[in-house]
Amino acid sequence: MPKRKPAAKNAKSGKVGRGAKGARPATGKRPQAGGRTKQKQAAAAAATVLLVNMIPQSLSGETNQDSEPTLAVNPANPLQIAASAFTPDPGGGDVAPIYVSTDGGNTWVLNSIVPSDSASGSMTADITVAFGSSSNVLYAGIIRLPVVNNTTRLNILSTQNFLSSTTMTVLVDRMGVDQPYVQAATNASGADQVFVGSNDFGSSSQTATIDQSRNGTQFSQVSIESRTTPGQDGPPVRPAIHSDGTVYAVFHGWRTFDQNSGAGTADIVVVRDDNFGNGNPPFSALQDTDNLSGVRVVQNSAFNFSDFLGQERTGGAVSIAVDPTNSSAVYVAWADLQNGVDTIHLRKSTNRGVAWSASDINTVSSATNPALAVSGQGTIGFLYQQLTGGGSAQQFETHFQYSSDGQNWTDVVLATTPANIPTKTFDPYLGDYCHLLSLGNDFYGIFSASNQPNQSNFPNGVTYQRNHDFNAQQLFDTDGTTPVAPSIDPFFFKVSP
Amino acid sequence: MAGKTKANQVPDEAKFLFKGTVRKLGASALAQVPKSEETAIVRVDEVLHAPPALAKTVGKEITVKLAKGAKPKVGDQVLFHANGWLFGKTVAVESVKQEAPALAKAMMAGRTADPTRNLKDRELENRVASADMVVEGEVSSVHLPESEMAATRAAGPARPVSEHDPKWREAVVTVKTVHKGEPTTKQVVVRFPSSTDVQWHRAPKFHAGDRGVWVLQSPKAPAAGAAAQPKGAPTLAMTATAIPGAAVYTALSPMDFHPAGQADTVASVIRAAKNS
Repeated sequence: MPKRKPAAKNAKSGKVGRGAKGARPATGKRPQAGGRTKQKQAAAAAATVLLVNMIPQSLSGETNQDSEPTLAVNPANPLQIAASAFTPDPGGGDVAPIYVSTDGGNTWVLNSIVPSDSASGSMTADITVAFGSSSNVLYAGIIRLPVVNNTTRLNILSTQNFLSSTTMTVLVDRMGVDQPYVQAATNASGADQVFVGSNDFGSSSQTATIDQSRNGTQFSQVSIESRTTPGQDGPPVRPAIHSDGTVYAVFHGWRTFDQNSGAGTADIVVVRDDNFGNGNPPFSALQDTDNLSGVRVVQNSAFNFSDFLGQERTGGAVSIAVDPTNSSAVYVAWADLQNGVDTIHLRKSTNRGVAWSASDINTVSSATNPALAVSGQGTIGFLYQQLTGGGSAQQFETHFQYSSDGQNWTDVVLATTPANIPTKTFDPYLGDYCHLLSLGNDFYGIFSASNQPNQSNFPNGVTYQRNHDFNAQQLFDTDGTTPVAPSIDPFFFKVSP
Repeated sequence: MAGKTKANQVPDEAKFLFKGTVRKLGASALAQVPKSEETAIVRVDEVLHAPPALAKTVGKEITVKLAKGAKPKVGDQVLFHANGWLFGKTVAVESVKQEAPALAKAMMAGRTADPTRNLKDRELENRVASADMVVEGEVSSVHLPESEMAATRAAGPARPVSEHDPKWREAVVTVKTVHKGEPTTKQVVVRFPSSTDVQWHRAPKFHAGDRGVWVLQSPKAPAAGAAAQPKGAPTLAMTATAIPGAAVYTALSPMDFHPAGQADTVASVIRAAKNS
């Protein structure tokens, strides 16, 4: 597939809305037609953009690789936001931190309440977070350290007070599980419905799994793969919940895999349950032409588990979002290899996942980490990270695109940061995923990127909490004078179209 | 399993030991910490041991959630045994014990003036105390374990394929000096992950010719409450490929290997741990 043509720059003007500190009208880029994706220029009013580097001032000296972020906004109080990343506990305890904001994302603190191990670095090996919609309960799915007996250890956690110093309560503790990805909603009876997608190596060779709870405390496992695999599925399993009880999940259903090269093929499979996972059996509402559960949005998508995009490892990424105004409308994005190029595809179903658009409604080359959300106005939001340029000028561009019709897209460039600064200290460099969600008409998201304090890297503005000098393009320690080297930081954003 | 509060930790687990002067009671210097009878603003006078982020608080005012039952007065200097809590514009910590500052002198006997070094030494003492063997020596060779070789021969996934795959390697260490334990052979086998994944990147990686001190652990048993091993995941009670029949040890923490240049530095810590 040909690469998309460079987007035309389209500076927009508009008044700052909603009063968020540091928020400003977007400097957008209008994508042009490229590849199979015919895109018209958008004529939307300017969006308001708030972008915040989340490292707090008291940690100005840190140089951690704070990659693979996720985000949770409390629907009952959107000023309360929690986030996660591969960040160690600054206190060096047997805990790992979450990021906490109580002012809508303008400022952040770290609160170390996730079980961990100081000898293993006081962090996690995977972590995602989500709030119940009205319970004020924060849930987390983690791979817990230390490593025990040569395998990964899943913990599903909860807390009723994310600012408390009390370590999160362990709800599930199981070995041999990879990449837990939590989503939650509160049903009409006030009970939290929690869904954690994961790759569970204990469930035969059909490893795509969902742990689900109908009360926020007790969980049961559901295998959502119905087809033959070469021994397992891929790591990403992503649920998406609608308030009417519809729950979708997308996963990377492996069909072939070569142990030595890392090359394989996968189906992008969507399953659905129509009553918060109470179907019989759960997640069996969608069947494909082979009469097996799960509709294949695309078959034999190429991936390589040993592949890299710059310093960022790839190997198959998926995302899913359901329209909160219409549970029949659902979007899926995935990354594959097109002639060796990491490429993101976005498609839409308007009939509850039964049929999908025959071609992409958006395609991005040299990109990874797709994340989707749909706003309360039915606007689809699409976050991704794209590698551009070459050599020492190589950059990761973080884009947030949105569209009210799936055809005309407005592109907000959040960051254009060096792809070679810093050198990675571990994999993943930016993360195997980033995160996007919506609440009302607003989009909230999080991504990781180089924190080099250069304002031109952030065309829609940015706020740093940690000590910095934008003119000198230099970070400083807590003393305000000792220089600090660039590193990977998490960035929070809120876009109000 | 119920969550455990950090307040339940015994003082020895406190990572932040400092002398501080109480400036204001029922107060907070961090917006995210509500003022209460349990909170106080404290000026940090001297840090005795701490992680780097907290060692930098000397001279600054921080918020302390006081240990239960403690009733210091404004102006009192107190020795706080604390742990980090919230890191924002300023820092909030949770005290697990408060004592008279004079006790610090005896407590810090033999320690250095560097609080981060003091904490590292204390953690290394604990690591040595829990180690099965501590040896000084040299890596004579590095091998691919049989389990890894078998995986490369398989057509499909021979075991779970995950980004967290440790990619195990075996280092054969020729022992020069034994500090702890009783090795039965002149060589011990150390299994280490060559993976650069987040789960393994902090684990030391070994190459032939590496010399230093190894703090070795036997493979751990499954965690209490955890399920049995999943399909295809070998236990770490593995056999050595390079030296058939030899016991296999691991060195997974950065504290578990100290290059030859640091051997003297760690010697006193090892002695202290052995005597504790």
